[in-house]
Parts: sequence; structure tokens; C-alpha cells
Amino acid sequence: MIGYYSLSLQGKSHVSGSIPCQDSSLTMLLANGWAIAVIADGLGSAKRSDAGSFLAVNGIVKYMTEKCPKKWAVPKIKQALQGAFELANDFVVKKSATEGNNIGEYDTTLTVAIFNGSQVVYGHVGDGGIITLSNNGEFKMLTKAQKGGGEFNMVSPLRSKEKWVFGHSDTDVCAITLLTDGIYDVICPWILAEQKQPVYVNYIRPFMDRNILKVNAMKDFDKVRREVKDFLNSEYNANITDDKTIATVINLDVLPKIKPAAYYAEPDWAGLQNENRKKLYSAN
Amino acid sequence: MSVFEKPSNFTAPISPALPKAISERHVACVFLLDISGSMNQKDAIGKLNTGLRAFRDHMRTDPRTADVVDAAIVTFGGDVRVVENFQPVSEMKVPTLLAAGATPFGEALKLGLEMVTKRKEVYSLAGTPYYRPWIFCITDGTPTDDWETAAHALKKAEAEKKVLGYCVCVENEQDYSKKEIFDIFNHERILSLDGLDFSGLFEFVSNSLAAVSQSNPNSEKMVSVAAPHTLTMATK
Repeated sequence: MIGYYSLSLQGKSHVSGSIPCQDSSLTMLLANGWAIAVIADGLGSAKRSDAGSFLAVNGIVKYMTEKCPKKWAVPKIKQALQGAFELANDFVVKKSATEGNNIGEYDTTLTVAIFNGSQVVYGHVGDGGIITLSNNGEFKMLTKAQKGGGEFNMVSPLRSKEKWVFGHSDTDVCAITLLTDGIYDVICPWILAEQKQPVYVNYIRPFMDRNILKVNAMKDFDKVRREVKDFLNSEYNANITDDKTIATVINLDVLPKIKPAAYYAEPDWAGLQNENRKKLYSAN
Repeated sequence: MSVFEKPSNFTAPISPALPKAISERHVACVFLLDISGSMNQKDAIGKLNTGLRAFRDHMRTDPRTADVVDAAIVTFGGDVRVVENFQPVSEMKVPTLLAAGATPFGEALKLGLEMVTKRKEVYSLAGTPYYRPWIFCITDGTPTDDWETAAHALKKAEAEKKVLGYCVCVENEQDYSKKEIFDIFNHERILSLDGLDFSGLFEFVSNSLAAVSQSNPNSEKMVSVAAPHTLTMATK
């Protein structure tokens, strides 16, 4: 049995700037029992990106509910996702044409996952990403965030077709979480990028690991959703000022293994910062 | 109690707070300070020194920013010198500056641009995220050297969104002509300082850098901070 939750929350910087939540998300089961999770992050610099992200999510869901293959075959699902991305992009293009606005005003990222309880097939463009939890308790980044370096923070939007990436996971996945950059940058922070474990395990774990998240049936997820919302809005996360979107899908028939305690140890943040300081100031 | 024993469905992570390092994003600011002979008038140089100390002290009161704002000081007065290379303001050493000589503005601007370019390379090599760096010039005069080449380089870098150049004109003399300053800097970022209020100026700079360092890197909106009444948009 598969359970899921998703939510998009307006960021603090958007509240103070009277900007709507520009993220959209949706998680549901397809007719064949697989889950589909879709997240889209309207770009902060794009005026109508809330509409762009909404249309992108709807385009994907419409296509996949109508045309998703009935049997699990990775190449065919990837092909379907490609078609879904085309439709999502068409939705946005048509909207901009109808309203006479520049397409760039609707710019949005898009990340989609199809999960059958043990394997994920995904489509992805932009600076969000997907984290997987394997049956043996390992957290991994499934995608690479597409983000420009330097001061520009350039993000590849949906209309950059050459940036679309389609891929799949191994076949031992028991939970997946899709995140827009507001939270993704906390879970896969720059300071861990060169470390053996680039995922901040202690942060992501309560969102998707059934050893902590006590969920056994779909009815449990309403409470989870409320608690996740409270947590993301809490003072603990005050430094995340961007919109926050999370979509999690869990195979409720699998309890992932618990790894040795060292796996869940907090990264040595102070040590990592000191190392970084040496790099930044030793050349002076 | 360990996270495994907590009773709720969703349990916050075990760290006491979101680690600061995660959201750390640096902003570099190189101050180009005019210490030419004219800065001796009305003890402008003394007030500049006081203002610099106030800047450091004010920035240090905000632990969120003291470690992520990297400041460097270049002086121009007779010659051009790097008095302080980039350091976090938490560790900034403030020199006592003495005024003398001409105003080699162009050479100072060229050096400032080179320094921010190199700084960005250091950030990139370390994998450290950063905001667009600032070049912040304070002068009471006009260039006495070849400034056109450096001005062209600044305009190009600004057009490519690689740097933000500001200039504060210190109103230390009547009929101060700012023609060259207006040829060098974007007119929206040329300010005029009255009453030698360097303390007010540096408090404004401190608040502005703090606001930038806490801003949303995805937003293209410029942060706005209240300026003292002594600091206004400059006119030619």
C-alpha cells in the first residue's frame, strides 16, 4: 500500500512582499495504483510564475492520468513523462499567448516522480530535487539541482527543453520526497556538497522514514500534513524565506532498516565552517 | 529523549536549530576610500576613521551577518594601497588613515574591480554561495589620473550584473563638481553626504549589507534601507 502527502507554503519573503505562493504541488494515485508526485516552483523573478507552476502541474497530471502505461516498463514511463512535460509546457505557452504576456513571466521549475513502491521514474528541470530512501535505510539524491553558480542563481525553467532530464532509481526504494529549492537547499546544502553524505539525513528523515514517521495507513497522513506544515512554518526554519514545497510518497508495506548510529550523527557544522573559512581567507 | 522515542507522527530534527552554515551566503564589499590631501579639511579624515570603527562595531552586533559580510579597504591618496584584504567584518581590523596627496581614483577603481573578481573566484573554488559584490567608494574630490578605462570596466561589469558600484560624494567644499563621478557610476547609486556624517553613512552601509546578506537570492528586488537625512541622491 502506498501513502502520500504534499503541501506548498508561502515563504516569509513572499508574505512580506505581498507575493503569492509561487509553488504548486500535487500527489495522487494513478488508476493502476502507482503514485504520481509533481512539484513546480514558480521563479521569483517571473511575474506570473504562480500561474506557470499551477499550469505545469495540471499539464503533467492530465497527461499521466490519461496516457500513463499500464505495465511498469521504465523506458515507456520515461517516454510518457516526456509527453507530459511537452503538454505542461504547451499549457504555459498557450496561457502566455492568450493573455499576450511574455512566456518568461510564467517561468517555473518542474519535478515529477512516478513510484510503484520500489522504483521511481522521474522527469526534472530546475533547482528542486528528489531524495530517495532505500529499503536498507540509505538516503540518496536522485536528481541534480540545475542551478547556475556565482551571483546569478540562474535556474533552468520548464521552457528550457534542452535541460529536461528523465531518469530512474534502483529497485529497492521504499520512500521518495520531492522538494523545491527552499527546503532542498537545506537537505542538500552547499556545505555538504563535497562530503561523503551530501544529504542532511537528520533533517529529511522525519519527512519520509517510517522508523520515525509513524504512518501505517492513508488516514494517518492528514495529521502528518498538519504537523509538517507547523514544523516548516516554525521558528526552527525561520532562515528559509522562500516558498516551501514538499511531496512525499511512502510504501507502507516496507519498514526501512535502521543504520548504525553514526549514520544519523549531525554533521560537524562548526568543523565544516572552519574548513570553509580556511579556504576563503588563507589566500589573503 | 531521542527522536526514536518521541510520540508524534512527525518529529523535528535532533539539532537544536537549523545550522547557520546551511543558509550562509557571503557578500563582499570593497571600500575605496579617498585619503587625498583635501580630506584634511574640517578633519574629514578623522571623521572617516571614526565612521569606519562605527561600521565595524555596528556590524559586529548582528551575529547573522558579521561572519558573511567580507570587507576590504583600499585607499587612494597619492598612491593606491590595499590597507585590508577581504575579511569577515567580525574580524575586521580598522586602520587609522592619514590624508595626503592627489586622487588616483581610476587606479583605485581598477584595483577594486580586480579584487572583487578574485574574491568571487575564491568563493566559487570553495563552493560558497555569494551575492553580487559591492564596490563602495567615498570621495571628496575628482580623479587626478586616467579614470576612463576603469569606468568602462565598471559599467561593463554592472551591465553583466557582476558587481554593484556605489559612490558617496563628501560635501566638504562648496561647488564640488561631480562631473567625472557621474561619468563613472550609475546615477542611481551616487549619493551625497552632508555634514561629514560618516557615522550615519556607515550605519546605513552596515544596515544595507546586513539586509542584502539576509535577502532572498532568487529575488531580483533591491533591498531598501532607511538612509540618514545627511545622505541624499547626488546632483552634478
